[in-house]
Amino acid sequence: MTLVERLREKREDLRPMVRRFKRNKPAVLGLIIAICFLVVAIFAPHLAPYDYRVQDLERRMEVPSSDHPFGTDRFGRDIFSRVIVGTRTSVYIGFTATVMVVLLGAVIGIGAGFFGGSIESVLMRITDIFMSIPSMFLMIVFVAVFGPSLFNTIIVIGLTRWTGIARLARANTMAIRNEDFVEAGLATGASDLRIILRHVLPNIMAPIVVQASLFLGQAILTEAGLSYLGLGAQPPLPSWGNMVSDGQDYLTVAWWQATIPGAAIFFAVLAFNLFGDGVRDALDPKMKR
Amino acid sequence: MTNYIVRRLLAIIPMLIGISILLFVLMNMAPGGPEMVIIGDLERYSPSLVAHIREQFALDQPIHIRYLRWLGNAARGDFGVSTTQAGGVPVMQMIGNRFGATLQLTGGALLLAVIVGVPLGIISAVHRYKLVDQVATVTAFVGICFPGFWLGIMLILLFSVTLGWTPISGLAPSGMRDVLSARLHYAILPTITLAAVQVGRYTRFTRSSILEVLQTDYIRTARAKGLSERVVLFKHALRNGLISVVTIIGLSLPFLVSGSVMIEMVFAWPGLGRLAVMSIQRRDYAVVMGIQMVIAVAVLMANLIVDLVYAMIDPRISYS
Repeated sequence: MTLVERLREKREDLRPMVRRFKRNKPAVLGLIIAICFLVVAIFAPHLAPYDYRVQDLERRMEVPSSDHPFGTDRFGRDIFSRVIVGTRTSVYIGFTATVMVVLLGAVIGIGAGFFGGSIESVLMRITDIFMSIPSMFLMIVFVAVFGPSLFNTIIVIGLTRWTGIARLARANTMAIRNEDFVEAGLATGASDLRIILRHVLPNIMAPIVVQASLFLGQAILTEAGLSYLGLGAQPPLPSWGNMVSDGQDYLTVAWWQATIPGAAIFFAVLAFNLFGDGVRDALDPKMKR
Repeated sequence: MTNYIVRRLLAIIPMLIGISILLFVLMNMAPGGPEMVIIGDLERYSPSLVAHIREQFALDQPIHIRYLRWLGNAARGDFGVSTTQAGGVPVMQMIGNRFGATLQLTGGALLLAVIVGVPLGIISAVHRYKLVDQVATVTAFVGICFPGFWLGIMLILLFSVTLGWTPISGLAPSGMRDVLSARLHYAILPTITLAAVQVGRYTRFTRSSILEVLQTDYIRTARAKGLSERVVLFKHALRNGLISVVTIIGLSLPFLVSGSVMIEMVFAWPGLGRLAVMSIQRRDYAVVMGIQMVIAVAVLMANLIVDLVYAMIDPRISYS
């Protein structure tokens, strides 16, 4: 079979799922809003009417107007431009952290499920330990180790939130591990790596993709939370979380400063969650109620 | 039963050792290394004092020796002293002063979220696809998408700044902390905020778990033999459906505690989460380490309680 044929076959496989997704109106709406956020994130520097760093001390804390649709902050910076650049921060972290979580969780989960024995017990004990420390506290420790920065936010979210995917991957791998075709593969002398890549991975992909799409919104929420605490993106780089934190100090005089970036977080999470739920219902119709 | 509880308590010990090893190694990797964990900002001290402290705390020893020393002290409830508080306040004392505030906040929020979320899920499942179900489902979904810290700020903006009904932040003025009404007044907004982000989860899980039970054969049998819908629901469906709800509530505890960190920061609530964030910013690692261990113990104990609640509501489960 040539590669083209194989890809065509794959597309045939996906067709009923795409159809199910399209019928799910909230999910499609979520996807559309999510794509809008993506576009804003990609073209942020071109879309922002002002430089997000430029201060205009003459025009501090201005109410929203035609010049500054979302008003200005305490340095006279344009909040509209900062929300746009903040979109890039949040969406970028959302996707990269999700990839990190899935990679780490899948490697640990498949490793535990495939090899079993002492490898499994060690890996699962580590998973239990990570699960019994509330993730926000664990993140605080990791931030202390690596220092707060945009890049480290990805690492920190990855290192603390992989446990769910790991348990899922382990359970699914164990089920596949006992299938005849895996036994046959091992009997013919195929290497472990080959069996994992060729047989295990394709068969456990669906639930992992579902979890990953459900995690996107979570990742954006987590990044916003870390930035709010001052442990994520560092000023002057705007992130929705640190903008809310800045705005909270001026709540009585400039309500828009905390309100608008927070609303952006809410709508982004809503969009990605709608999309994630849609992916789950499309890939795994049994889950739908 | 007693046997089971003792066994579970013993099983917590290796978990705690694992957690403490992980955290100890991490804290030692933090900038400044082991010195920071014990003495804090080195530049503030004279070299001779640093040398003295290094010797006293055996910082020249390899990490496993230092860990064992820490473990020995921790087992006796001694997590060392804060390095940023004047006079070296014991970490345990700082934690003790704030534990109650965190317990009040998370406990209150858990109670509120269960009282609202679980009945809403039941009503939703019983009236599946009706208007009330759709409203509850949408509300639950939207609730999950709120960043807790922003929701808190919006509630402050509405109820404290605009309407002036509730205080903006804090636990209560220092003289009023023993007055129940004052504490409740201050606790309203933080508790509602922390509960709000959980309610949706509980509603969704309760709904799907009750729906699953309602589709089983024994429910059909109960209906077929002419039992009233009320008896079917309360005597047959709820008992079974709520077992998995208890599981979810148990699993959500770490998330609740994570959420409390944010809420404590928003409302300047003097709890452990706020102390942890501020200690990290001050690089007061002994305090951070102590808080993590106390939180881990609390979560593990809460999980044990959840398992015991199982046995109470499900006679099929017996621990012996």
